[in-house]
Amino acid sequence: MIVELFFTEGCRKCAAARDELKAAAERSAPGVSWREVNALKELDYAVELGILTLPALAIDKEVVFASLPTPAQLAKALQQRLEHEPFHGH
Amino acid sequence: MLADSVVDYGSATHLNMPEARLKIVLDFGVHSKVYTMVLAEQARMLTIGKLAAIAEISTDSLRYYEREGLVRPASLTRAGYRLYGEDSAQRIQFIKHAQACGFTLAEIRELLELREHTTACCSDVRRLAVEKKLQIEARIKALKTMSKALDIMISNCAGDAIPVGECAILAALEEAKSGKKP
Repeated sequence: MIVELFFTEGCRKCAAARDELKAAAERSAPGVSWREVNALKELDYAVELGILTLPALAIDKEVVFASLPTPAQLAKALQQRLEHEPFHGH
Repeated sequence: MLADSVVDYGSATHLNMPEARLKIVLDFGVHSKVYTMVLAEQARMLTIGKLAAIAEISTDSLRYYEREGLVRPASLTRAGYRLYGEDSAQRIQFIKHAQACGFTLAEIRELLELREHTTACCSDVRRLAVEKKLQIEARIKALKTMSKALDIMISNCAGDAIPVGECAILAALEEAKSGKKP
């Protein structure tokens, strides 16, 4: 499973929330791959995924949060995915 | 009138002209009188027609911007005509440039608010610009997809004098409507 945080440079909200979100992702889905994506540097990829607002968060290349979630919201979204896709990543 | 002494009594807010100054003019002549006058700043203000001409937009557009909360008159004359500050023309140029970059009026309002917000910083504006670029790129991608779909339909159409009932483009559109891939 891969979690991608799309951001713009200088995003204060992202910097403040990043560590907590990353920790929540690693707690909820051990082995999760965490990636931070500068939307401007990877514009085509961001457009391909349908990112229209920033910051945004995608799970397995699907935009799940169009704005920053709380760590609890991210944990819940990851747990739901794990329940529905028990063999994901194997 | 002999104005022997002029006393400034500040904004003439009670006349609904906060940008104007109320002055008390004392005449010390034989038949001494006191005059109140609203002076000065109002003369530098712009009527809706003048502002529209300077900004090169219609008065209807200006009223629309006002309804959308993007521009507001600094005051009204006693007759109720709008008067705009000199900075309004610059504000309208800002709005026009932002519209040309694809920003909606709601987004422009946000940009204007950021401009006036002392705690906001450039990265807030940059984020809005990057978001707009993402939206434009997404639209370009969608338009390219449409263009490619049209290319296929055009190449499938012989374009000669076959009856319209056999037209490949119309048939492809019919199939698309019924959920089949063209």
